[in-house]
Amino acid sequence: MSGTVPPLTRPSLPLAPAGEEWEEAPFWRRWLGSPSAVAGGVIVGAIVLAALVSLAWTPYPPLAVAPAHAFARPGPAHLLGTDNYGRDVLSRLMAGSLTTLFAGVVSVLIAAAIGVPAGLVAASRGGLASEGIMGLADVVYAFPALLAAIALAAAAGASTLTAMVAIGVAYMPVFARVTRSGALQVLSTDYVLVARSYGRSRAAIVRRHVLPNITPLLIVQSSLLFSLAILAEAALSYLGLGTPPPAPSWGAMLQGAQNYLFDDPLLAVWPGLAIALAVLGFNLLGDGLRDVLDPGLRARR
Amino acid sequence: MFAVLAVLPGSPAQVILGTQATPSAVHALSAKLGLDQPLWERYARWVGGLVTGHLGRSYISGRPIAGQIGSALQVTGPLVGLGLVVGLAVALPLGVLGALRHRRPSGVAISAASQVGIAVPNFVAGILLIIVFAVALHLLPAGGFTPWAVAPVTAIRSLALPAVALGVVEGAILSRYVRSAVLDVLRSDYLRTARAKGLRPAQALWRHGLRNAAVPVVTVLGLEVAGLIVGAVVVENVFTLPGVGTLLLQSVQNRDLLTVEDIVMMIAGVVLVVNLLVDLSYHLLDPRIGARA
Repeated sequence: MSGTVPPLTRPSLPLAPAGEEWEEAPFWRRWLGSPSAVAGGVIVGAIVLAALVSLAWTPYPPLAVAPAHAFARPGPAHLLGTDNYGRDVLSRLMAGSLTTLFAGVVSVLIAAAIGVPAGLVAASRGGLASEGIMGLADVVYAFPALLAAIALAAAAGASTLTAMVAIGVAYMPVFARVTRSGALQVLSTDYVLVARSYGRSRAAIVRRHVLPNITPLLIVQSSLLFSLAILAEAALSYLGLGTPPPAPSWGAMLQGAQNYLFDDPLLAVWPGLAIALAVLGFNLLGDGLRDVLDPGLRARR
Repeated sequence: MFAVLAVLPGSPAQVILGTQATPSAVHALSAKLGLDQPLWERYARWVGGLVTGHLGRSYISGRPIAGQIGSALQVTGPLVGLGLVVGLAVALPLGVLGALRHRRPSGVAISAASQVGIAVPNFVAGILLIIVFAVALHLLPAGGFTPWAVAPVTAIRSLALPAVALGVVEGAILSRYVRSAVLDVLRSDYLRTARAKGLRPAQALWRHGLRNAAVPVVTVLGLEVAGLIVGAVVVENVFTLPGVGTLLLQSVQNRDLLTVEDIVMMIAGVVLVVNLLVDLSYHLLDPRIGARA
């Protein structure tokens, strides 16, 4: 994987470093064998598709105000109706999926960018560095994510960015823990011992053996954290501390709809449904990926 | 946290007086609020206040913050308590039943229902409850709160929907842990021995299993209580309840930083204490844990 490290020849190793996949059924077949992975994949795929399509096309411009068509019922002209400003709900939901996915991706990337290296250092160095890093992670973890985001919004002003930074930092300890425990497991294997006896440096071992082996763990964790990030972004936008109006965001749409619950309750149902579906999708995908990527776990369960 | 809030741009005095204020007025107010003193001095005074219960006065309203939080707690405290009751009422039966019916259609249905329950955020659940019980059925109020002293029954009625919104979601999460803890116990040797003595599965579980299943569940319960407290911040805003969460959000909007800091630290403190209590409770549930440590 890196030019500086001469590749180890597989037959000379007592254990295959990248797992025993080649004896397993092909990846897509294992995927189809897991109901969670299929259902999660379909839901997440639909949301991603809606977001991509919204970049090029939505039935109406998501920000276009048309007071004459306010509170239109769902029908052929507006499939899901219009809101109090006459904006097309379907168009806003589609554009909102982009906000949601963007917030999820950035939050998870921030969490991983800090958490994974911290976990790797903690695992490979041990001792004081490990204690310090994991102690700090525990402190951050004890602080509720939503609370941190609210406090940050109070200080720095409400925006999608502050929400994403707060969520990302708050979930950083999850990555640190998962990475550390996974890395410790890999570091205690025979093939790492062999690599060490070859004189490989610590960094090379982490790159060549630890990272590829814990990638499945990290992918599963990313999917689960993605759903938490979506939830947190929606909650913050709902409270008026995330994506500011009029930008289309599911949480903000829900907040706007709440003023008209007695007149047009459907207006609140659509974004609520979208949020729940997105969270469900990424949760199912995470659970399913765990089955697909880690067959050993499935057998043990 | 204190440092982050203090370092960021925008002087509270400037915010209070608005953009039209003269620099000298801003300066005078800063002096009055003690904002011109060095950061570490303000920090030391704040931490001292947290310990002794003197939380200071709001930068905006000038009222003592401790009193405001105290009256807000009369709403948030019962709300979190009721939410916990609802959560346990959902999680325990569903979790145990889901484990007993493991691999049967009814068990799979329970798992699927809990998966859906987890995905519905509490504020979405709250709005759906308002639509059903307030808008469609006119059974319960859609929001607002009557103080306990004025009309206790009305107060309970206005907390009913928020507590369900809060509790059902946490209950769905908790039920999955209950289910897996009970499943572990069901597979254990001592339960098989109990079955061999002639006890039915439910009897064996009741006499020997539940206490052992409680240890992992209580661990998660601590996290769930933390989730309930933070969730209450959001749910109070759905139902316009004058609780700690509403106070926090108002203070954020007014940039009433001292109040924000006090409330955030108080909630974080409560969460830490709950986690500590959970650690201490292991020993009561399973004396072996204390003996090993």
